[in-house]
Amino acid sequence: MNHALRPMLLSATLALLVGVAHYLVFAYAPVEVTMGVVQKIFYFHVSSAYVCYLGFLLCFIGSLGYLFTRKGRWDAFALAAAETGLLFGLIVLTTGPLWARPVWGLWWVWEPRLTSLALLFLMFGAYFVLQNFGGAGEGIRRMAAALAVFATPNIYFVHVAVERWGGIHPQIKEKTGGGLTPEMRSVFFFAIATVLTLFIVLLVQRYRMHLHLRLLSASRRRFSRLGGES
Amino acid sequence: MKSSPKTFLAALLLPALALAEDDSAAVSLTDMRHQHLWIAYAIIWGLVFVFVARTAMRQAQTQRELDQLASRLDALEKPHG
Repeated sequence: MNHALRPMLLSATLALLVGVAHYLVFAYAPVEVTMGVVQKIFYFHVSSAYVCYLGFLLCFIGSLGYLFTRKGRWDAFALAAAETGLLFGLIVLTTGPLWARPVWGLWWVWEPRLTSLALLFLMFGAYFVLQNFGGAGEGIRRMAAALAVFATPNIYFVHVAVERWGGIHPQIKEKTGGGLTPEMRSVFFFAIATVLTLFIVLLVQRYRMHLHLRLLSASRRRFSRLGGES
Repeated sequence: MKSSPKTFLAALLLPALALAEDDSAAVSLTDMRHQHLWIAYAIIWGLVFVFVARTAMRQAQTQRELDQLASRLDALEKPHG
């Protein structure tokens, strides 16, 4: 396929997916009886949480790959995954309080799910800061990779927080589909597919960008070695 | 009776708190639900847009710099054509 045509086709497909997802959320999915229209935040809030976990998990894999092989590609992949995960984490942490305020009467509650997610976000925030502002040394990259490896198991604690420690955050019961009508469930699955596609596209773009940045640094070093003046 | 700094501060803050209470009462729960829904979706797509735009801009800039550097490297490595 033509190289110029591919991104356009991809963008058009993504726009179509997002458009259909919004139609389904706002026009097809019924309004939840207790929470009212604000419950429609749920579709993208929860989908974003899932891909946020996925981003951090991929960062873990990339970091392990980097620690074992010391190849820059793994590090670039880990950083791209963490950044994309952080984007969706930020979406979860901003849409959550907007949903909570009319339902709970509070913007934020220090309960297990929310607190553990905030901590997970901060850990990967530290990883991001270290990678982007810690300098270009290999030691920094190794330290960042180790931080990601230690931070990732916290996903498990975020996921089981409601079951293990209670709290007021709602929990989707996967087996019974608790609280969701069949229409809501199908819209939810479509929203997950849309957000996942968006996540993959953003991850690939970000990964390419980091590869190019590394290539640029290597070219600069080569240029300096050859005696060129910048 | 001598008022403590805390009482003084509370007296200062009371009118502001009362006004805030009035405002929150004025916005009904239904309105708030609608507002929050729109704000949430605006934030979602705003954040995604910023992420995409920043990635695209940085990618374009990196590509430009790479192209420039590649031509300068070629000139350095092959000075006599």
